[in-house]
Amino acid sequence: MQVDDETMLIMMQQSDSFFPSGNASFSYGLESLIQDEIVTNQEHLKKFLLRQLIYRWASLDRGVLSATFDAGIDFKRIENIDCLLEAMTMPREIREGSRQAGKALLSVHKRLGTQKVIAYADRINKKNIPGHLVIIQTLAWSDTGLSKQQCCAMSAHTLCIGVMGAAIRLGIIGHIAAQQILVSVRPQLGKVLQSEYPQLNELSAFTPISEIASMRHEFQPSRLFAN
Amino acid sequence: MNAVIKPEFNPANSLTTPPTQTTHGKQGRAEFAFDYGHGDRTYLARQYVEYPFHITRPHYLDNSWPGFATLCLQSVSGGLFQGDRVSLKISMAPDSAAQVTTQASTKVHTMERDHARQTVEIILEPASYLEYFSDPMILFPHSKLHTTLTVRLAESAKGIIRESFLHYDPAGAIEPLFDHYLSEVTIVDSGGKPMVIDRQQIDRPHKQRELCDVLQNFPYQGSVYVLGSSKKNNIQQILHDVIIGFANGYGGVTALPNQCGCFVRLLAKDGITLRKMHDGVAKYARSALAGYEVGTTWRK
Repeated sequence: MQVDDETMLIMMQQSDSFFPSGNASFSYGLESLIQDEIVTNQEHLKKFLLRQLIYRWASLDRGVLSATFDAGIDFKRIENIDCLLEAMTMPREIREGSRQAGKALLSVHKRLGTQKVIAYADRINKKNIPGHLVIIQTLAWSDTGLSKQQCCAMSAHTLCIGVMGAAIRLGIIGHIAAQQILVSVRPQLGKVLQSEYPQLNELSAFTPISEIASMRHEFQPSRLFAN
Repeated sequence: MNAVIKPEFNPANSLTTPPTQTTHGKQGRAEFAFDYGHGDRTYLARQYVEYPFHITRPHYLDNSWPGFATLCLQSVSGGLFQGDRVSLKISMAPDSAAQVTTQASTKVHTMERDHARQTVEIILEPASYLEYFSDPMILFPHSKLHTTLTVRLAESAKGIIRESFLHYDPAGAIEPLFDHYLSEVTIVDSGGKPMVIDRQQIDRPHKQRELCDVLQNFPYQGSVYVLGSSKKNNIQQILHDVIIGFANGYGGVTALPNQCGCFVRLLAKDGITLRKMHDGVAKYARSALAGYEVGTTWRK
């Protein structure tokens, strides 16, 4: 991936945890998994992150990102992809969290004047379209001139730092361990980023443990995270 | 959340093209149409069954729901083999109510080339009710299975759809040694608009440590789709309470997308636990959907 200085600065800005992207309240089921003592240490956490990356992000979100990017400004097509993702996301908290985070990111980019996002926001309001996070991310990032590959790398990176941030706040690891995990998953993530993009009719996910954890999270009386 | 735009995704075209056209497997089909009447009970109005399928006559087993028909679907072939293409279609006329269940789990045998495919289509007309309780698929080493199940759900129709699988090696290995498993469950409304697409795909899990761990710890996996509106507002809480206490199982309940019911995902360390979780969910889901208690316990 060749990156010029300006592109690099855009990527650093947009994928920084400091950027108000709206997914800081996600734990992706991790809160329940820790409470249920299924994730109890650094090794468990690394496996959890890899499963999220390979068996959900790569096989589902990455295909959605790719199709949205390719759709350009064909917003009718993007609406259909958005609704497809809604139908394919089984746990309610993951669906609602993704829509809320999408809405938050959309609000930020409206104020930043990101044209594609502004155009899509009108359609979301008028047609009751879900507005999932990965869709809004793709619209926003592609509007800044980033390539599909760069958008994918940022999407994967924001997922990784989101999971690590949640793990730190839940007290299961410290900052150094989080960085060690990020480094250790990089080779496998690199292979995923080099693989072919899944087509819309090939999308799938297999993350039953984190799905169940997110479902059980709905019934927890006190919760730190949205899912 | 009402997603008003039709996704362009077409479940009928969603499966990966088979690597080779089958010339060696069996191509069996079974079709049933249930109707309601003839003394206030559901009857089998139409049937077509060819090898490897075989069916019982409808039984009326539940004293609490005398008109409720139970039909047991059997296979005389000893399981699914490479190249098999089997399909099942169940149509439920308005007001009909039935359970279709299988005689036992289905062995999915070792395959060298092609895969096996099972296609199920269920049509639920207004005010109909169906329990489709398929017993688990047993994935043998190097088996490759594609299953698709599509439910066309009319607005006032209800149903409980159960899917499950497990991996098993007759030689005793505990690792998941099957090659490929693709399960796709799609719920569409009466106009054909997809409301739910649950598509799970696993490729060579024994080659992937993170995935292998999950399937080794929980070799038995199940899903239950509780479709239609419930007579009880707290159905999710009820089902959650049913599945939460199993030491050898891990399960969760949530609302399905596009408000078409609720959903249960189950993992279990053994078959007895999965069956107990499934039976508990079925019992309380039937009560919440139809207002009838389960009067029959299968011993399979």
